[in-house]
Amino acid sequence: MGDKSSDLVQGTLDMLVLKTLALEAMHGYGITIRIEQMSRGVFRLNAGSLFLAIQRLERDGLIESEWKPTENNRRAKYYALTQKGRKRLDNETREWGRQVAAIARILEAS
Amino acid sequence: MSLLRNVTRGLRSLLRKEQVDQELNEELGTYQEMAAEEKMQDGMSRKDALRAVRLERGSLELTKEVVRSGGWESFVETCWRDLRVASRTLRKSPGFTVVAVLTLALGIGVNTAIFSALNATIFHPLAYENPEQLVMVWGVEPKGCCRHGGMVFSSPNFLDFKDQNRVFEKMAAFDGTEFTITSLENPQRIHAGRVTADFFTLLRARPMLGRTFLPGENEPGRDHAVVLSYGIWQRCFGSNSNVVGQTIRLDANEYAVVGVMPRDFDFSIPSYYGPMDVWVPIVLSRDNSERKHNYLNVLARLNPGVTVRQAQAEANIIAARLRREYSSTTEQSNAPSTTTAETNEHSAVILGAKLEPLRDEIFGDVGLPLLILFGAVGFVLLIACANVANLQLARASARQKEIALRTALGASRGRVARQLITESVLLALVGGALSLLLVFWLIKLLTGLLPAGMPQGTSITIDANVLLYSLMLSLATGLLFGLAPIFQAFSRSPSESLKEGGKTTATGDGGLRLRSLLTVSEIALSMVLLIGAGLLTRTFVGLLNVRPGFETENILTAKVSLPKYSYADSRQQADFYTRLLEAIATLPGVKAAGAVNDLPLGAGRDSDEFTIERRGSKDMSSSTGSSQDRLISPDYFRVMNIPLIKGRTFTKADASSAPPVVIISQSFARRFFPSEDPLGQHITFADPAATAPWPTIVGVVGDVRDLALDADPDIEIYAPYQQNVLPYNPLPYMSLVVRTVGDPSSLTSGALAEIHELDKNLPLPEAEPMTAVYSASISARRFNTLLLSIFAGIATVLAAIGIYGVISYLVTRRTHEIGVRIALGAEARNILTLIVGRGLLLAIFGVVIGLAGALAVTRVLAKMLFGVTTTDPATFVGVSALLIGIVLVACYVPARRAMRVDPMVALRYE
Repeated sequence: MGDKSSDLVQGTLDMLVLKTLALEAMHGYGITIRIEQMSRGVFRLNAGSLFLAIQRLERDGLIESEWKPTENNRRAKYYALTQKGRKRLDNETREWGRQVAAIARILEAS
Repeated sequence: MSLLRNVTRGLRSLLRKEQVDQELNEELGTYQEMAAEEKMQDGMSRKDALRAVRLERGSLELTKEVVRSGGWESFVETCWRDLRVASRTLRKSPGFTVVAVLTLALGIGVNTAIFSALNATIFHPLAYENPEQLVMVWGVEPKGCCRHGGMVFSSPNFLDFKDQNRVFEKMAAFDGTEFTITSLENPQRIHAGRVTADFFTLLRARPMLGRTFLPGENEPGRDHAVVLSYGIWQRCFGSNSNVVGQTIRLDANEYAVVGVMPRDFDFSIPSYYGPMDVWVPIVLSRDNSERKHNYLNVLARLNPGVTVRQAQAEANIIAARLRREYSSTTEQSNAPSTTTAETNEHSAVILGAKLEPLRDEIFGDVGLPLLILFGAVGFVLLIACANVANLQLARASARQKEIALRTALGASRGRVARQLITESVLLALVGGALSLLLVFWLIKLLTGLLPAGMPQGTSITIDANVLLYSLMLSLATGLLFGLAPIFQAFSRSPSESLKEGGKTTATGDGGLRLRSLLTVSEIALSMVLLIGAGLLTRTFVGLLNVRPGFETENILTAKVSLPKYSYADSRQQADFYTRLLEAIATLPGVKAAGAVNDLPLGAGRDSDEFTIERRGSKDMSSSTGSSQDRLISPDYFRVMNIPLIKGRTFTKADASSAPPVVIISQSFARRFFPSEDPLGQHITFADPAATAPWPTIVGVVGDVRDLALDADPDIEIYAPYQQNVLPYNPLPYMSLVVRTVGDPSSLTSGALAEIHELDKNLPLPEAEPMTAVYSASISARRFNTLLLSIFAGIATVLAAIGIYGVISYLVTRRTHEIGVRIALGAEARNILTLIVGRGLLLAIFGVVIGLAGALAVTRVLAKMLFGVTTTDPATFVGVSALLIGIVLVACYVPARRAMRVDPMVALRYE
């Protein structure tokens, strides 16, 4: 029952949220489910960490929000990537790839 | 961009808290519903599903708290909440709050006040472009160089110096004089700066109207141009912007107004160069006969990149070259081999040059004392902090339970610490705000007390810098003394505190140890301050006991100036003074009336080179030297009570037609006539080769401390004012000295009326008793001594309160124990010893540490002491005894309470 999100490398949650929203605008719960699905259950997100990340991204102008009805006719806040967010995601993906490759090289060398 | 967004979002959360909260509520509600719905589709009941969601994703309330505390605005919000709690807590204990706030206001107030004085003086940048390049250039006197008294330059020396140097971008010479503006309806006496043409361009000061001087205007015949100061332009010319081009009359001469300087241009140097009303060009001469006539102050601007040290090296070289080149012209060439080393030294035209940065020149005299006072008030503030920390610790034992409860309920240590710090900072801020009232009052006091001639002394105000300083100081103070209760709060585990039920008879001794430590530091700090104040006071008392060599009581003085245009030659001037003195001497209440050009201990002085004719010695060589010289009336010595040691004083018979005579001072006689009778010897200020008769020494009088009470008497020559013995003609002004029967001020109007009786057109001077001149000469010392004593006094009172608090606390805590002791037969005396002994121990610790500190620190006072060493044993012993005595008194009060403990009551406490 541990908080699996703490297993996330520091700062990567922001990147995952951005990635999730890159496909389509989504509400908070949707983001949770999508991340958990895509990680095949390795990451579990609690609400606190998620909404903190969302607040942070929104204040940085990387995502923007809009109240919209859901398919079940509830009102939910949908988040979408801004232009700046998309750029940031590209950068971070590239940087991440570089770092992972580098770490992999080090680990394989030993 | 994103910072702006961050700020606006944050502000929105702060200001429209409800709406933001509601949105968050709704969003999280939806989130929870969606999560629960999914679980319910798997067949869970709604209740189970919600519970599962809470477990999996965290509770709604917690999430809200997490999100809320994510932004910066939550920090502000907590601070606000802490502030409200803090102000509530403080209001609940008004006694503590009032004492703490007042103590802090005192500590912060004295600091801010001294800071405002520094802010207006040495922290204040000089109002010239690149002021660090500006230096004053002084000649070095045979006796060595000293600021404000180094030798000034003669016109040829200045011009040679200027031509030969490569380190100064510009060099300007200036001196001061007085004029009467006669082209106005009411003739006015004004101060005029006589300057070389590049004086203004050197300072890079631009005129507000017109221009400053052109290079050619230092030539004879072209020098009748005048630049007005803003002040006189407003006062006498009605701020008329067409004034440039007009002609005004200064004394009997016409000057064309060429420019007006802006309001903020005020080139003045305390103690010898006051603010000027106008500036006129000075005419310089290269004539070698002028080489010994030293009267020019020299200001220079260093070339960019040249340091004062480099410039000093070059100045030394030039001075040496000038000395080689010209010293021979002033020596008797027939017997150079027999002149002694001393006379050789005296005969030099210029011995060396000393550069002094303009800033030091202006602020040098006030900088060090103010910085020392700044250090002293720093100590006072530390003591105030220690006291408030002590008060807080006393309260903290009572609050131990509250804090323990908070911790038990989940508040983190950081959170509790923040709450406590907020309380301390709030106290400090209130204290700081209140202190501004004190500062306001202190600044008035400071301005009034400031030594005369302190630069920009009147402009001490509370400006933005001062306010900022006060705010920062309050914050820092709050953080500093706020550490004590935090330290105390976490020194014990919460469970322990809760168990004890908040009783003050706690077993832990941490608080008391901390408080003792604080008290010891308070005593040590006060010790240092008291010793500093003690040393200055001893210096000051020593000065008051210095015999100046003349009497100051019952003498009225007034400086009478005669305008050149109506009193053209020295005969007319002397006649005026003679008639005036005769008239005043016959006034009722006047015992005698005399005159002197420069009052002893006053600001003015003249120092000139003389030659002694060695009639008695075989080689007929002469010796030369430089001495103070004063022109006096026959009755001067009688009025001032300066004793005649040998020979006679001047009489009316020493008129301009009579053979010239002088009187010398005792140390003059001792130095130049060690083995012969000075009476009848000849001495001259003129060129020894000239044919005029040499003045004869007719008397020797007692030494006078003419420069300052703390300076040894200089060698001195007096000349009768009717004769032209001295190389200059200072008769345009003389200071009257009138010996009165009673209070000298009562004669002011009577004596001044005599001036108008003789000449209705003369401007009337200010008159003041000689005691005022005397006391003005030590005003700087009085200022320092008084302020340091006040601060030391405040420090001691605070320290006494501190130790009183600690001992009271000790008595309260040990009431039970004392009760038992009394019940078991202890006598009051034993109890007294027990309690006072504890205080004495603290006092001795503090005094010993303070002594060590004082030994290390009083060195900074060295320059301000006179007749006392920095380790004066009497001061050290006396102050130690005084401080221990004060501590004993502070302990005695609570100790008496302890002696009266009723064992029955004390034991029932349990």
